[in-house]
Amino acid sequence: MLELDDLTKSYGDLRALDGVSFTVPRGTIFGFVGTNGAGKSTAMRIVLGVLSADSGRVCWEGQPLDVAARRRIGYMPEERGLYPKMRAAHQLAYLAELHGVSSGAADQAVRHWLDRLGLAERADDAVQTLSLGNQQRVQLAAALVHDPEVLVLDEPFSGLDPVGVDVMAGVLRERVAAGVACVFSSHQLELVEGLCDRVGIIRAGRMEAVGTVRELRQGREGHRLRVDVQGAPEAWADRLAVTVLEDGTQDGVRRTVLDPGDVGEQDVLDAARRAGEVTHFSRVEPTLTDLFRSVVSA
Amino acid sequence: MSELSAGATVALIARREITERTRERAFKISTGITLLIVVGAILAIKIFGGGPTTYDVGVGPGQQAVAQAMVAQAKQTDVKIDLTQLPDAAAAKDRLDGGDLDLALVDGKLVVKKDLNSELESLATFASQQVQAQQTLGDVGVDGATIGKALSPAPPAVETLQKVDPDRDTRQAVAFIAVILLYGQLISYGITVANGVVEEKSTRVVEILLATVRPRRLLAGKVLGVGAIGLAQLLLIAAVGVGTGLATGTFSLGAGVLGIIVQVLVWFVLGFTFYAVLYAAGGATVSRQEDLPNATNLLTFLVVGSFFAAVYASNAAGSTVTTVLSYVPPFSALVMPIRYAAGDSAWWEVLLSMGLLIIVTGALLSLAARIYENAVLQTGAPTGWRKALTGTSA
Repeated sequence: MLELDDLTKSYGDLRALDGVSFTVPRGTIFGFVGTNGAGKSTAMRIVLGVLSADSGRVCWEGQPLDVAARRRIGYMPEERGLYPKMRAAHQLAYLAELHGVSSGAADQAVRHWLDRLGLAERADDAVQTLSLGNQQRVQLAAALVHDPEVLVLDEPFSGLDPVGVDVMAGVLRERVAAGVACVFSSHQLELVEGLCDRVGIIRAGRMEAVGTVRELRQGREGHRLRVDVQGAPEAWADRLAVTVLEDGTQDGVRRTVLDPGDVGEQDVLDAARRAGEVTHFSRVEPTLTDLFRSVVSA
Repeated sequence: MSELSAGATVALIARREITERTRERAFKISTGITLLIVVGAILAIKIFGGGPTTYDVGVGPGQQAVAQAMVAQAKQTDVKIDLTQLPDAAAAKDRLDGGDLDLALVDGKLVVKKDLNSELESLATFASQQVQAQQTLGDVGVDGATIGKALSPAPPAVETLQKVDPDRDTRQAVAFIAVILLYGQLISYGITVANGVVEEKSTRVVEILLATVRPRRLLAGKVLGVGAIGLAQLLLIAAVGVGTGLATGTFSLGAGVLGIIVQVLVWFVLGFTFYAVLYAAGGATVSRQEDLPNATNLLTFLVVGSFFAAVYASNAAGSTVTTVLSYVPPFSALVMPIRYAAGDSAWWEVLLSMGLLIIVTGALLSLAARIYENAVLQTGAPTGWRKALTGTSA
């Protein structure tokens, strides 16, 4: 289990991290979300030891991480880091060897990952001659080539085309199924929701919410109703003490998403029926995006 | 997966530097060009250095006696006169205009195109006066043998108080070329180290590296790798240079040339270590290549200053300034070989001077490593030296 315990970090007056704690058990994916500058990269760089925390600690399997233990982490920094002129395969073998992999095993791992990521043909190309998407794949391979037990990936999906996203997601699922603990940050919340076992939302250096998406939903007040009414007048719900979140008409059908608050669901349905012909009535689970918005705007 | 030892890590990093840098086309081209220049310089010493100076002198009608007197006089100095017979003054003018002649003797005059070389002038003047004196003495009935004796007295013998080393000139010439090369290696490989550090910073690959490698090992591997390339290149140049020198007979190893070459190789190792760690520290304080010159201009000034000191030393071998600079690091790296070649310093002095550079480098090493460690992960605006030293963040 990877454990971040009460990390704090300040840059002068700016409190970049303020008591950040969360855990990532083996075989799970943790999605780390937050606005730009919320502290995601700072927390990840502290895990990797390229930045030191003012207080708090990072543990792996109960032991504080030291340089030797960090060799078991695969890292993808926010701003991509590879030698531009070095050939992809050489570069990956070099990084594997630096992590303590023997040169024979390194070559084997390099071939495996280049194959798996569809880069076998590009093995001898200088990294700078590859497309951005392929550079990103090499960067992922660089994080994987020493067969790490922990993956720390800062924005691994940014800049990938849909095929690249699928490949990346597939590889992460595969590694996690093999027992790796994975934490990654992303702004693509649908992706995070679909891929992660647990999610942490950070705002201004503080963890505002940590848990499964289901747990986060339960922690939030109320749920939502979606009501589609044919021929309903605008503001049909105004007489009810509800909060209208979305309201629009298409082909004569008015779709309203509302937070019923203390109003009963059946009362909302009755009001809708009085307004017109109800074609759709359902509870809407808030998406991670909704949860994120409510946390960030709170 | 096991933790690599410090040695294995440093060796791995150094090996990457060597394979990647020697693969570059620019490296191969610059090595080739340097070799050509060295071979050319040695051939130039052979062709233009030493040997007698030769003058082409045209001889007009009736000037044979003066011409022969010039040739005879020239033999006593290290000058050679080539004579060309001219039918008349017009021919002399043509040949002078064409640049075939340095001087023409016509109708008792010395005719030149523009300026008369002072050496040639004194030779010709002396010869002409001698011929006239011969004539005058002959006219008054003095016999030939007496005239010859009177006009060509035996020169006084020269007694040398200090022993002159016949190989000194060769040694100085070799030392000068070696110091130019040493200067070139120090500045270019120092800058290579700085560029390498900035490349790792600007591409952020340093984040990945330092997540698994301690900063000092990364620094040591880089300095070692780049230094090994610089030394190997210098060895190759020395081998080709010595080969050319021996093959053309420009110099022999017995003339103390080997001692200078070995010494310069050692100076490279010491001088490079001195500059490389400082260049690495300078490189670590910036995040972009375009900020690098600003961060390292003091160092570049030191290398260039050392070179000028060496040029000065080659013209003022025995001066106090030269002696002092031959001990002061890092000037000593470029000045001492010059001083040694002039025969002004003994081996123990060279070793003492090297020892001083080692001590100063040792002291700077931990300082530079600290700057590197503190600055290499700072991105954005250039890190100030003071901040880099103390490691306090913003």
